[in-house]
Amino acid sequence: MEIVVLVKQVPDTEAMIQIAEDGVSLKTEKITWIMNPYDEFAVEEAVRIRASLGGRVTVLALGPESTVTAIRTALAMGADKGIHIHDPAAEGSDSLSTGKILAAALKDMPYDLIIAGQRAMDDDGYQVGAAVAEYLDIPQISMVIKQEIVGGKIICHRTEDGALVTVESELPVLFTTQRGLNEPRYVTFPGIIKAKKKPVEVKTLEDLGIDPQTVGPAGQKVTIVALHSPPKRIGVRMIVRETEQENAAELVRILSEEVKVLLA
Amino acid sequence: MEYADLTRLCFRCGYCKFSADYGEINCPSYLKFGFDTYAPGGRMWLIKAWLTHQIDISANYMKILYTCATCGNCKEQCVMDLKTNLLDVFEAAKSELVEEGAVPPAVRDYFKAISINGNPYKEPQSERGKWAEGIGIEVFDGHEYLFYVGDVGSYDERGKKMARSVASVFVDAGLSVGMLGEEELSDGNDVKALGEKWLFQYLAEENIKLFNARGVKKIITLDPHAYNAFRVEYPKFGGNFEVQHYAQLFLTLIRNKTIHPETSDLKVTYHDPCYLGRHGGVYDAPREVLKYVPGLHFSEMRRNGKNALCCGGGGGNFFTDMMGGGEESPARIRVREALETGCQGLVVACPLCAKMLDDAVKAEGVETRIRIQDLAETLKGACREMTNSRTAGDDVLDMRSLTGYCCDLWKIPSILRDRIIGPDDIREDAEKRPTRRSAL
Repeated sequence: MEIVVLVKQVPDTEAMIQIAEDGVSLKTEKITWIMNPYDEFAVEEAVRIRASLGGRVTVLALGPESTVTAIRTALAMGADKGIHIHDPAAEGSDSLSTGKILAAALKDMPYDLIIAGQRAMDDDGYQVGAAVAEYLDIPQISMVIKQEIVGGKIICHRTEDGALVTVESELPVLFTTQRGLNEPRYVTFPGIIKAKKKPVEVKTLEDLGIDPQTVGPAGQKVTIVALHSPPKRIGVRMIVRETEQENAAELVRILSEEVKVLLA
Repeated sequence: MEYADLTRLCFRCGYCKFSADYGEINCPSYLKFGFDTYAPGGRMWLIKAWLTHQIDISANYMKILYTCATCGNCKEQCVMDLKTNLLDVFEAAKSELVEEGAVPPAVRDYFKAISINGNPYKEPQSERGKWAEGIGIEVFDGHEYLFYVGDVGSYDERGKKMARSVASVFVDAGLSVGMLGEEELSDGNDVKALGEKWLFQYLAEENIKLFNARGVKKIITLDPHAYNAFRVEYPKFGGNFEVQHYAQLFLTLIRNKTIHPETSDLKVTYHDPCYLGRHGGVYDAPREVLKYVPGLHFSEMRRNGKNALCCGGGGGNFFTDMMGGGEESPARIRVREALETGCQGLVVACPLCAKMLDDAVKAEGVETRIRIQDLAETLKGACREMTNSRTAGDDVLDMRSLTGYCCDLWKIPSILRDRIIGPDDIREDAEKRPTRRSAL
């Protein structure tokens, strides 16, 4: 079983996100970078499938120099080898271009199964997994909470509006992960250091036969016009009047006149 | 596995889970779960079974190892020579799980939060010094003492309150003391107890580097867990500092008349934190401090000193909550034991104990009968509102004299604080709330 896991490096989920001077990107100086949490489920599932069915787990990631840390973490979790697509021209690619680049790398690789996070926790795009499957012209099953592979077929469970949907497909297939699929294993410092012995291959857009003008900022189909911080949460406001009736009347007044959620 | 040979020496006599007089169970996880596998002897046999390939790692195996509160009662009660290294065996077994990557999700998330954020609360480091706002304690710069507050003192609401009361005692006394604020890093004591020796080594080395760079010689800790790490573990990495828990310094300052405890006529008892008592051997200092409070009535709980019952928050359980709550949780049993003494105040000297026991008081629904207070709060007479004469058996209190205090406890908005609450309202409210007996 040849399994490929798509991995992205994202800011720590608790990081203080600040909009940069240009108004369309984020300040990255004080951010700690981690492997996208949904990709951790993907790596864990891949390693578990390999444990029962044999084969090889390859981690594929696109991103700047620092992305190698996420790849090393995946290798420490048990993946066998890493491929790092590192090319300055690819930086600033939108979801579709990212899908295109990853798919181009996958075309030259053997795969029976591709696992990706349902979305990256930084821009919550939900696009890349689907885009890769479309470019490769293979089926995709999204937000999987359980899977079983029997004789060249995969059966996946996914939740949908409170219902459980069972989806079956021939391999090769791409599926994306949902919380509940597994509990990713913990990786220690020495584990990551030991993983340095595992190979990480670096590829450029040229290696993949991609024209830099079709990806990155030049190839953007989606343009970020502006970023805004969500409105600050306002504190609790206590209504304290003489009687319960007056309290209720004041509450109704605020809800209808100030917050405008009640219509008179 | 390190210490593997010791697992063969335990023949599971079972003394480890008892109190000194073998009259009651004193192992927190055995108290909670009631199965022998959750007692130290049971764990020894289970680890042996894993070492000899009779069992595999499972969720249950992990849970059993990680519900150990590392309180050290077993080391006191074990009759074999192996008792010295009893906790080391459990720690080594947890280290094996860490190395396999097979730890419970709550433990994994605790490690990851410390690795990524530098603290288990996943809060930015810039928030670390916020507890000290308005207290007047300076950032450490060549002061005689460093006041190290740790994760709970920096981020937990109860812990911050405690850090503030302790720091203000030092500031009022004119002591030369500074804090690290946003530069402070987790001490790693519980990381080590949970078996992540590699992350602990990193934290120890970083802290030692920081302390040395800043010229720190003497450290006062808020948290007995940090006291243990700095005193016992850091020297192994070349970090040699003069470490004191704040209770010890309080005693010195009282004896040399630098601080003067305020008069109180409260009845109190004292809960020994495991990492100050059994692990640190400091039993007398906090008790001596209490003796200097004029008018204070002190009585011991049935289990005290070397024989104290743990609150259940040690060994990382405070953060991972592997032990879980419920009526038989060690903290709730401890609160009931404290109530037996007829005390109004349960004095603690550890921010983890403070929070665990505070929550237990709420869960037991006895907020009007007992209050968890730390040593500093006791010195400063923080409980003056409670000084009306009552015994633990009193069900109805005269609330008029307690209004300010009860508002705090029952979370009545401060805006209503001036409204006088009648005894009848209170009695009715108390009856509505579930008590332990009515739950049965």
